[in-house]
Amino acid sequence: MTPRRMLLASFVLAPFAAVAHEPRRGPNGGQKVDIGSNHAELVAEGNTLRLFLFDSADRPIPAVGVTAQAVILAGGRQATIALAPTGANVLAGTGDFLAARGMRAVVTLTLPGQRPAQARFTPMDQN
Amino acid sequence: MLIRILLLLALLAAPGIRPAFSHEGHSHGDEPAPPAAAAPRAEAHSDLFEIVAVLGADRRLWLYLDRHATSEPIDGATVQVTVDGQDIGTAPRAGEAVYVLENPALDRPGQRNIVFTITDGEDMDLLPVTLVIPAGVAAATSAPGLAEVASTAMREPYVWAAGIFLLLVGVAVGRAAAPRPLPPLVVVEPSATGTRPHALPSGAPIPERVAAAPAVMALMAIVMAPVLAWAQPMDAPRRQPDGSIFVPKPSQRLLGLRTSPAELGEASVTIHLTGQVVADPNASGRVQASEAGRIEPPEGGFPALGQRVARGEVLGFVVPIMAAQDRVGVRASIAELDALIVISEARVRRLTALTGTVAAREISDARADLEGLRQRRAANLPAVTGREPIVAPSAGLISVVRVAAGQVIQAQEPLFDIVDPARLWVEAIAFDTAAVAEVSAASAMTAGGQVLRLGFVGRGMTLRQQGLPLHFRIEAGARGLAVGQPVTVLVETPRRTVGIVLPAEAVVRNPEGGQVVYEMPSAERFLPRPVRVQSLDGQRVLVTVGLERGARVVTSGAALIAQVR
Repeated sequence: MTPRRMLLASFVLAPFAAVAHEPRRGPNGGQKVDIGSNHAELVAEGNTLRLFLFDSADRPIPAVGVTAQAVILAGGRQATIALAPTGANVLAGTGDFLAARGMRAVVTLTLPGQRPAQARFTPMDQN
Repeated sequence: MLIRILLLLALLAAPGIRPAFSHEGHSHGDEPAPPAAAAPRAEAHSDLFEIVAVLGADRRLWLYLDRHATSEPIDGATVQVTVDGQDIGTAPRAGEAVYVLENPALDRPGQRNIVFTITDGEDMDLLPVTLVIPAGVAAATSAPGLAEVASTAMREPYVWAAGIFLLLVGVAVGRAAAPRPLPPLVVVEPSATGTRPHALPSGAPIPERVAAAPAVMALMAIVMAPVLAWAQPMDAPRRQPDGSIFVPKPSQRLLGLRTSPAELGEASVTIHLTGQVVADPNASGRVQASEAGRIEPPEGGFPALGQRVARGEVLGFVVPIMAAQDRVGVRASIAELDALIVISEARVRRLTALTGTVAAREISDARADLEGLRQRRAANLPAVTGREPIVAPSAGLISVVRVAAGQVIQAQEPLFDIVDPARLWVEAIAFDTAAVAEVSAASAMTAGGQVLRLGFVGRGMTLRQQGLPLHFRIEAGARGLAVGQPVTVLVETPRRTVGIVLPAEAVVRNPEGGQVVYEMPSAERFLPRPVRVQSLDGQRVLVTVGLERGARVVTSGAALIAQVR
């Protein structure tokens, strides 16, 4: 990329760089937040976590070769759960926790060939 | 090079044009970075906590934990740290609400994903941060190693060549400007012995400079000592090129900074009036003499300033003074009355002796005459010998004394003022008579910041000096007030406006003179927001324009942030 093009790109992209992204409801009823340069939606039911992956334009990302780990704080206890691919763009895992209001989760997502990225979810607190 | 400068300018200008572009699709980016010279840091917050992690020069991770909404430091919490999925234990407390962590996992350079599990009593939360640990032994604050310098020189030879060139230019300028011994202005005659030289030899040091050198060294040591002694990573607060202000957490703790979320509220429209404390006419009094005379003290002397007096208490006596002509007239009439009384008494005696032969009516007439003459004499006597007592018209404290014993006063001259300190009023002057047509509540503030609660008494119907006088009763907080003291009266009207209610100290003046509040969009960054404010009472203001609800606003310490350069 030539410096001139970089200059152009910076003018186009810079205004968006500072936009803060609030957590929002995802298409599967979970909470969708930014993770790295992508989006992820976390659905918590009982003792199961499901993580749906989307790119920055909300198109599904294939889950093949993706690893993820979730740290969960629910009911005053902390649990660490490994998530494994179970569908086209879904990772899932179960663990020793019970999804309840006030639950917090931090997901560390590693896409193939990329550096791990982290995001914080409060999947049961949205109204 | 020009392209790079333009690139930098484009990035700096970005926040200014942000609102026009907020939308869904985007590239991910973070908040504007802290100054490049600051130590590596990362921050995260939830609705409960806010944590800032700073990597010190000694490779220790300093953690600063606060409440998110109020920025109140949280002391005694448990912070458990996970670095890249590996639990490295809890961070011990290092100071008040400061936790420090030392771990080999933090020595490896690169991007580290850190998760903090924070427990403070009942509150628990997870906070993830991403910290970029720079390469090199001592990260940001110490000098780079020799190998690194060499490699940088290899990568960027032009920069180094320019630096060396500037150094050489500097040395050359220094040499050219070095002081040289000037030729002597006065030719000194050689002394008889011929041993003294004409001037100092050029190589010899000037004696003053030799003496100053240790002093300069000592001064340098004093200046440098605190800089070297810091254990915590102390980054200086500074104003950033985009107008925001970077204040690191340790400095925020020193400033005692507190914030509060901006909540939309409703408050009544208030009007500022100037006023002054006056005495309640029903609980104060002015003592005046009713006639001209000489003043005399009562039994225990005149009352002193501040002395409490009861209603009806005698404060002094007025001895009337008369012109010589008047006095002579009164004396003459008394003498005449005395003569008439003697004659009348003799007549009564004579008639009484002849009781039976003289009519009883004559005897009783003579007696009535004598009684009338005696009463006329008694009425005339005080005019030359009597004195009039001066009594207090109301209870209270003596606030003005204008008498001295023996002083001759005119009629109606004020002698004492009596004020009841528990019953004072405030008189305010309103120039916009329509604005104060309805008064729902009022308060006043003295120049010293004392707040008085007022109750509305009434308003005049006649303008006085183009203003309408209003009277208020002071209901609470009247300690140490004096009659005549100027106060600012805040009158609340029934009209309501919507805005954000903040404490008055949250609003500060910027260098241009405008009113600003400081918003805290992230843990160590502050943005000045120009606002339009109305003051509600002595302590609170209403921000009507310039602030969005939900913004975190500095409520305590804003004036200190405004001074950061």
